[in-house]
Amino acid sequence: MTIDTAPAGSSAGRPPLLAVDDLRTTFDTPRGTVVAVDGVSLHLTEGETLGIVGESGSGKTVLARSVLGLVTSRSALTTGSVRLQGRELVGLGARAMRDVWGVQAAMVFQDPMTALNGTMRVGRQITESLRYHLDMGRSEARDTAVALLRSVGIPEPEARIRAYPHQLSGGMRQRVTIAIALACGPRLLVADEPTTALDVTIQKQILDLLGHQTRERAMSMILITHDLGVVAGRTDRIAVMYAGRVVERGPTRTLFRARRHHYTDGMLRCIPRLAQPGHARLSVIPGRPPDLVDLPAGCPFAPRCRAARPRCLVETPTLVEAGGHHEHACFFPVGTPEGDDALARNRAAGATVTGLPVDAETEDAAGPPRPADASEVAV
Amino acid sequence: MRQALRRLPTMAATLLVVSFLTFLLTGLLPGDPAVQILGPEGANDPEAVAAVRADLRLDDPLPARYAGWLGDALTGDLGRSYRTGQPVAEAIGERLPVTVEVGTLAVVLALAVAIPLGTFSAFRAGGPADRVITGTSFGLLAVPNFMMAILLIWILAETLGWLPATGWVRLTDDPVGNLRTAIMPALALATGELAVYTRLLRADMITTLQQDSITMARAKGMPTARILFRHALRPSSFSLMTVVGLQVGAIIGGSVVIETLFALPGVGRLLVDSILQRDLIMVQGVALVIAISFVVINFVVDLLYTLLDPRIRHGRPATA
Amino acid sequence: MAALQPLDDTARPGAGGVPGDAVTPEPPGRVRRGRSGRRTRARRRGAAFWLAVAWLVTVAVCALAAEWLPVPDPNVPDVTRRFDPPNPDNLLGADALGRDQLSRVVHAARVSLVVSVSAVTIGMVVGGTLGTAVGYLRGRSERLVMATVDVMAAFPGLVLLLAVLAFVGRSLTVISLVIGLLSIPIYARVARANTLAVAQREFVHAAHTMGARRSRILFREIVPNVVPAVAAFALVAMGLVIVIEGSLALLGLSIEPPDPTWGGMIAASKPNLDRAPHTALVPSAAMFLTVLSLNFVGDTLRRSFDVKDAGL
Repeated sequence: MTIDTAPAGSSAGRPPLLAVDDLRTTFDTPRGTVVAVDGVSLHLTEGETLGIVGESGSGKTVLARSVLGLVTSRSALTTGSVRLQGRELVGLGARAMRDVWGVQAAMVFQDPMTALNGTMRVGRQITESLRYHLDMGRSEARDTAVALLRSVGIPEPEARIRAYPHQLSGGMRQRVTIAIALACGPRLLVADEPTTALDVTIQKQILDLLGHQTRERAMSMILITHDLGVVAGRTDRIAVMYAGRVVERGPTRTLFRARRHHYTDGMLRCIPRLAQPGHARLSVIPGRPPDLVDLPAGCPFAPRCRAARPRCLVETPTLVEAGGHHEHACFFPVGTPEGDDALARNRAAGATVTGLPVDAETEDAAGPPRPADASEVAV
Repeated sequence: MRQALRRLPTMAATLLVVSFLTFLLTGLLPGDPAVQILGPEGANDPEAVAAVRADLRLDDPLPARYAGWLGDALTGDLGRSYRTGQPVAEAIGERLPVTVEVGTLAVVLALAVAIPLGTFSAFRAGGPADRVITGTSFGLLAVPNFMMAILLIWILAETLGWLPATGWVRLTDDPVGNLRTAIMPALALATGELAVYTRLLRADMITTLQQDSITMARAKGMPTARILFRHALRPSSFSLMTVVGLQVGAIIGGSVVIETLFALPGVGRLLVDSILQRDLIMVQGVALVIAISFVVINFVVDLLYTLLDPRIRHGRPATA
Repeated sequence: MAALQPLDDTARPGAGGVPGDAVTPEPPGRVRRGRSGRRTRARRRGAAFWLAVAWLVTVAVCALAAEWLPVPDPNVPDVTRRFDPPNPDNLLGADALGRDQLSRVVHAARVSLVVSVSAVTIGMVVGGTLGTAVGYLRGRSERLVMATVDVMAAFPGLVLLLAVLAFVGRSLTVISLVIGLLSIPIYARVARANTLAVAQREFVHAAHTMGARRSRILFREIVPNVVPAVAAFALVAMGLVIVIEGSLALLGLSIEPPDPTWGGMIAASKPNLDRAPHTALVPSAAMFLTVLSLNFVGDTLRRSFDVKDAGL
């Protein structure tokens, strides 16, 4: 895997807050070894927001937890390197991690109902970190908790700190978990699908809150989602994950405008657009993510890829630079002569090398590959 | 709270049936209950037999007999022993504190050991410490309390001479002496309970430790001990709570044997002595009191539930 | 990096199968498995399982054939041998009356076997039938039976047993009968819980859809899947019955002396613990190993009948 040396965009030159290098997390199962995260490298500078996108089972949640050393299984093994503010986290003991967790890096979970402790009052769940990490007294911690709840937009915070999680609405609960994550002023916030469990109407509010808070506190954020629409207007850069690997990454605008990987392309085609004619058929990516036990050689996406060629089955593509800090791992990238040629050959044959049927009709239903604009798909 | 109070009628119905069954015990006697109760010597005296028949309202129809008996029982009159002449309620009242003290001590001891052991075992699930704890508790399930009692007497009393093998010192007479006589019976009773509690807590705790709320507590940088005992223990102890209530039956049954072995003046030994002396009115009274205590204790456990789970307290069903 | 390490599948919560669970049986369910599946499962059972089975077989042989085994008469006292420690003549020593301990332990197995087998049979047949029937038929009969069961279970078992024995008198038959009758509610609960679980399974739905008669479904689909689970529970319950008989013996309420029972031997050893601890240890070991084996075999079987745990 290549290691980014020059961070993208305006943040160039600043030292990275987080540098993940060749991170690999495996689980021993009775069926064999599951490689959930397979050699991922990432970097994040101060104040930057990185989106990690992939469908369920692509390893993005395990990646998030591996970065923070929160993989809670005896059978799990994490190797590689995670440097946060210059400090190596992989191999660090639980005692040492306690000074990282909550203080330097915090996490927002997918479902606030299960992430909050149902048997503890909300206030207590905030004040316990304040008192433990910042040595606050009882009343100081209480006042800080009230201020935190107010800052994340919870009305009547003085009353709410006495509430139990089940007495709050879903959106309120997620605001509480954000307040908990912010409590000790971490530099890095990892938000793992923070809106998936919420009503659609609440999702935007929560995403706006996260964006507002990270900007205000100059924090860096890793925003994990399966929804490209979520990251479109809210991230500086995006990494697309598939089968535990990063298959494409780059600055958000570039990635939307000139995506190269067929997986990214497929995901973008799944998003309904205002510009589409009524009753247009939504495109889907056929098949399912591969079983992560005994992944065969070749590109893991090949079985579902419209452009798969014989080469894709024998050689595993690695990330290559496509200009402007945009990288992809594909031999026949979208929008390039090689890619167009591969597609044309498959269309002529009626199927890809893995037997996936490709016919002109399905191609046309979704329209030819065209540049997408981030603003067009933003929620 | 409301939830629990709604079960009040069910409890009342159960108590009524339980009392009726206890009342029916005298109906199991072959022949004339009065003759059976008086025994071979007393039965020769027709006057005594007549007196017993009047006492027990044996000439009334069954429903009237039951109503009368229940009425008496409700006012605290459980009859009078035909062996000792002592009122049954008084005899039970004298002995109940001993049984309650030993039983409570046993539950407290069992929980005091099971909570840390079960928690640690779940925390290190699959590891060597967990294997030892799980294996030992499985073995303890096969050790009846009387066997443990004999073992304790042999080691602590006969061999080491640390504690008196039998006897009872009242709490009000000598608190230290009381503890010295209460600890071995309580330990014997606690052994089996401890194994049941440990295994149950371990299983539930393992489930809890896999939940997001625990990962979140770790992500907050909380120390391990705090996560285990402040975050994970409460949501893991709902079924433990229920079983502690249900196991009160086992404790009461165990008290009968243990009090006899350690010669404690408790309700259990009263029951055994009454059976051996065929003091049937006493047996009936003791059975009634024990059965009622059992039903009431389980009702109280249901109430305590609401203290553990705020979701129930606020009138919502617990989902997790 | 792992502070908290809750586990993976290799360390399973070993819940269930213990006396304490008897009151709240988890509803397992069982899928019918092909012959080959069953065979591989049997092979996977460890040495401990077969050791436990071997011990139980030994106990059963002792109980059935005590007279023909090469041991002395268990009831013949010999004052010259009082409290003898284990020696070539008395392999497990002699008791307070100089009776051979090995012989007494072997003969005592009979009481344990008779009481536990007959009590468990009564409970399993009556309670199991009742529980399966109402679990399948549901409706008013179910509510009536389960309400009765709940009330019966509201009595502490041993106290009720003692009270009944006090009023009815005691003998091996009465003891077995009463324990069996008192255990009916527990079996009814276990059988009903299993029936409810099995009735939800696909093959039962499939049979319904194919228009099978209810009686056919009950006997061809439900019963074969409920019986193993109840039987596995019955093994654990046998251990419980042995302990109950032991408790009765300690209270002097089991069968009349001089015939040996394990509980009776333990009770008799109490005054002589300082002089001859082996008089307590020998019957205790016999009872402990038997109950442990029953628990272990029962628990192992229960888990293999449990769909969740069967790894399907």
